[in-house]
Amino acid sequence: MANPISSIKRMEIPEEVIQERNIEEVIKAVSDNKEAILKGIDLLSTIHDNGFLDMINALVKHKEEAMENIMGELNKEQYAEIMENAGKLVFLLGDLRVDDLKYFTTKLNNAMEEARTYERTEPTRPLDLLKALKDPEINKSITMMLQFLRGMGKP
Amino acid sequence: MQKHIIVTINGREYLAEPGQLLLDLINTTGEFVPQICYNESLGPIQTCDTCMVKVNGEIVRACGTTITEAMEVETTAEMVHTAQKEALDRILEKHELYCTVCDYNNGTCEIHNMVADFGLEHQARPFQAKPYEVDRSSKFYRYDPDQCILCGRCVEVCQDVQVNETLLIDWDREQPRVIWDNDVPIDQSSCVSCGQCATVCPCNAIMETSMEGEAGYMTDHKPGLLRSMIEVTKKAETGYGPLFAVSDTEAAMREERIEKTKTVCTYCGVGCTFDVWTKDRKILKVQPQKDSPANGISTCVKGKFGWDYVNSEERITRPLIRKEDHFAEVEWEEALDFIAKRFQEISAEHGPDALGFISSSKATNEESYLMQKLARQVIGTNNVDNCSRYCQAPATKGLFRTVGHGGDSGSIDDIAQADMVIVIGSNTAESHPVIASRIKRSHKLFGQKLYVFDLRKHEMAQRADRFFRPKSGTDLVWLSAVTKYIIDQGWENREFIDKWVNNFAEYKKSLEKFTLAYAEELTGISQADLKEIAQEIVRVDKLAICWAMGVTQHTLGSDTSTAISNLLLITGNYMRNGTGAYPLRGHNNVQGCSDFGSMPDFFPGYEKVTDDAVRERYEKAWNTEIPREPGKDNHEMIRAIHDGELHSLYVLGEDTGVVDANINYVTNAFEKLDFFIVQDLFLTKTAEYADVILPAVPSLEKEGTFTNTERRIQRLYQALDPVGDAKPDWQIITLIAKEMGYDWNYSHPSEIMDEAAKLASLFRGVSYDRLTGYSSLQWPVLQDGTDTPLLYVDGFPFEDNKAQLYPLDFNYDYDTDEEYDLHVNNGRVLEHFHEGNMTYKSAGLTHELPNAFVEISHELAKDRGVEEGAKVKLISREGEVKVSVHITDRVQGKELYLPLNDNGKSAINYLTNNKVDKDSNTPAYKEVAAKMVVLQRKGNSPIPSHNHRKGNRQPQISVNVERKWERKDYIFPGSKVKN
Repeated sequence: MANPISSIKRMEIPEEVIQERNIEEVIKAVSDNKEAILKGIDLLSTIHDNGFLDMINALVKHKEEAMENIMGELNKEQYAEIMENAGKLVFLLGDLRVDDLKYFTTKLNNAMEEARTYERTEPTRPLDLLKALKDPEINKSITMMLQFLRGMGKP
Repeated sequence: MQKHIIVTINGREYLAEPGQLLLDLINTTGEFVPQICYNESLGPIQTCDTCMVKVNGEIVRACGTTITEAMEVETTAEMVHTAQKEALDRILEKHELYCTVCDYNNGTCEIHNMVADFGLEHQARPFQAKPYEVDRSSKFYRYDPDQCILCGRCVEVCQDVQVNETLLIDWDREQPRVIWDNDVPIDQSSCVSCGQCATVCPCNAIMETSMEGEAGYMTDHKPGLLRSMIEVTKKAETGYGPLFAVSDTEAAMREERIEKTKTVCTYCGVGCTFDVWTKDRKILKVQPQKDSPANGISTCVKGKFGWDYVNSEERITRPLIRKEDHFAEVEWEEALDFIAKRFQEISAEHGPDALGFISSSKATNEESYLMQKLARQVIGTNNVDNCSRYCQAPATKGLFRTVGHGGDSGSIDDIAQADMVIVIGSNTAESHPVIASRIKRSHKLFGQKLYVFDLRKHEMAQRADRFFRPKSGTDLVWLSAVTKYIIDQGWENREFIDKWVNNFAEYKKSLEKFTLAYAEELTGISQADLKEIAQEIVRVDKLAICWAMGVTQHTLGSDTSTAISNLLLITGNYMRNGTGAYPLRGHNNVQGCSDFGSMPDFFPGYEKVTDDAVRERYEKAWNTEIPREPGKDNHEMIRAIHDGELHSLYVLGEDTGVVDANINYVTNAFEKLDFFIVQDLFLTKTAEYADVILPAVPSLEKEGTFTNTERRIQRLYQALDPVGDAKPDWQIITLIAKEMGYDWNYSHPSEIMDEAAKLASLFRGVSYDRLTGYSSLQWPVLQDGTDTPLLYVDGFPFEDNKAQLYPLDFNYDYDTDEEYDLHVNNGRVLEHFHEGNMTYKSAGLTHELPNAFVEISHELAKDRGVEEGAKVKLISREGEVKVSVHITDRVQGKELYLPLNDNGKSAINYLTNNKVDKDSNTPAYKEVAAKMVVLQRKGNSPIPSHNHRKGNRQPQISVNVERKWERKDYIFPGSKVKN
């Protein structure tokens, strides 16, 4: 003989029992993954020591604001070209012949070294230029530059 | 033999079928041609222009080219490539690629994948925003015109697959877009939210709202921030290469937290299968697959969007035991101990037949098997039944009498292939939406004839070539009269009958009474119409008849089902594809629940309890003795409680107190029980009477198999963990058996299926291995795994291999009278299922249709002086309901329609009585006479203004791509590259 009822009395599980069950679960997980957990602790301790942990913590907590700031900033007009250039640069680097560039970089370094250590104070006159052409190193440079200009002019 | 055609592609020769689509052929060769709008399940739409190829020197769309003669095809020539690139560029002008922050970036975005496969690095023209807002009016999906590439897949699927005819592309605007009906917001349209547009959308233009902000790692930001992220993404990622490298990585990372699990729908008997995407307990989306056997890419609103109940706060999570005025949560040990003790006490005092067991059509085959095993082996009674008693038993009976198997003759494909489909007493578009779509498609596109017999002018009736409204309960008469007329004219299929059918002479004699004049008088269908029906039936080669509760839930339900089968036999409409009998099964597993033995007179596989050899087989296997007499069915159990014979009832997943006829009678019985167990997800109306309530889990939280209306056994996999201490039914029954001293020792449902397959020859070759993933088996299944998509190919399962014509009479006494002058028809609505215990837990579904209503005709409304939204009380001899009025021409005269999907004050079963089908004890739910008392003359319409019933369909075939081509600004990409 049962009349219809619909109220439910929930089982009250004491806080300690829930806690105990949770702890059991965690202990099992720790025990199953001992190696990984120890390494994790090591990592945690390292980034704690160098102050990184606090920073990450703060950043994660303020993720939405951080994203907003960064995205807002990056979307400003002045960054538009940098953003685009950053992308384009990648393709540019792909086109450059790095070996050739290296050749020129060495020459450029020598040139800079020479220029920096030169101590003459008088101005150079037109006659000095003609004289300089006789200097084999200068002559070589000029010839190379003329070739460079020829190359640049190619269609 | 079919002649093959030689097609040369890039210098290599291939054999093509005449009529084959060139793109389909190319896709089998390993040659790459980009394609976005093309989808195998939809066929060519010809909108995206990316599949350009050169055929005999001309640039054409491969998807628009049918192979009829030998041809020379180039897919790699420079001009081909240029045309393809032009088409892709046009698409990217319409669709912004911000993949990394897009919720659709799950590895399946077809635009993303096509651009990557094509190797497109740069966009020739920048993306152009369109001047339209995102449409978020639907609770289920949203449309973003800005991301839409106008491929028209959504339109194709809506017009020609679902055939709801809501979506169009308005090609005449400056900026074309997809529109709903005559350009109204989604929720104001005729959209039934089947979700197939979202399923087929190649990108994020139409997307399930449940995916938004959930699928990606970086998509859950405020709209403003998301926009700036999109901008930055676009700026920083200059070419598509780097963009895809980042987004592909992010997509791969999503796999880590989004699970995709194959499951079988828990609602109706169509048996749709799909992947359900879950993130923890969140259901992100339901994704049907091209290879889903019953449904392909189709779903209805419930299967696609109706899963909220799984996460309802109202779920029972621990066993409950009645303690005076409340239920107290207890541990499993206590509940099991209590159950075993009570079962033993009652069995000892009153004998095993004082206990009854009711299985669930929502539970798996394995669980049905275990429930009857518990009853028969552990308790020792055959008192086990299931809810097919409420709906399907008469159809099964009718088929057993005539053709020998209690299931659909063929597959859904056969219904689609038929030249003519007759639908009797089935509101298919709302009750079996995906099957309805197959019929609607064949009718719309392939000339299938559709004849509908129903009281109500529902959607199928509106679409039918001919629609007839026979007087309620008289289908047997017109069916028999038409059959008689066919025989009288000598139009019967003589060859078929001679070879395959017994009892013609006796049957013919029994038809004498069913003259056209008699039928006209009883059914109201004119003699001319009856003749025309007969002519049409014999004119077509392949006839399939679908029927449902409008036939079975009558006092002559079994006989009417028999009459259908008789007609099919006389006209030779069995044994061939495209023909046969299709009783559309209502629940996901109403077929399987009976198949696997939860029936008082049958063991699994429909082997009789009274058959000594069969019983001995089970007795031996289970080491027990089983009573030789059939047990009580549901209906008899309720009566036996009233009679003091049945003292204990165990109901699994069934809200008997709402869904059985004559609620007051049933719940009074519950009150008399000594011991009552209800196992369910929720504290249902039935559970309120229980002594013990056991917390079960829904389909998404367990493994097992369901059998759909096509006799198709399909596996469901576990997508979610059970909530709290709830357990799958098979585990609970196993625990009870163990507590009673029977240690079955099952560790997985596959072991239960193995046992059933060993014992029941119908399922001999069924195993979980053969059902892996989307594989399925249609019974009977032979030892070697051969299944039977089409029954009776080699004859009928009777001794001489022949079917049996079954003579019938017609003695029918239901009618309305002067006092109870209204006929209350009842049935389903699309948005809700059954008593609504699951669907009303879905906010979206409830928003669509908040409560039940009663449909009344314009004539009746005028006669009683009521307007839309009026409140009325319907009173039958058994009880009364209060409900709001919806006035519609779907019903006529004094016929009402009350959806059964309510468990409150408007539940139909307050009105129904104890009358049953004389042969199967199925309640005659459809024979309800009532009177109406007006409580309030008008009010708010019970159908919200955003309900699809208030929409305005726009039928057309496909997407009208010609209109796109006619636009002044349209240039065929191929013509641009010619010079």
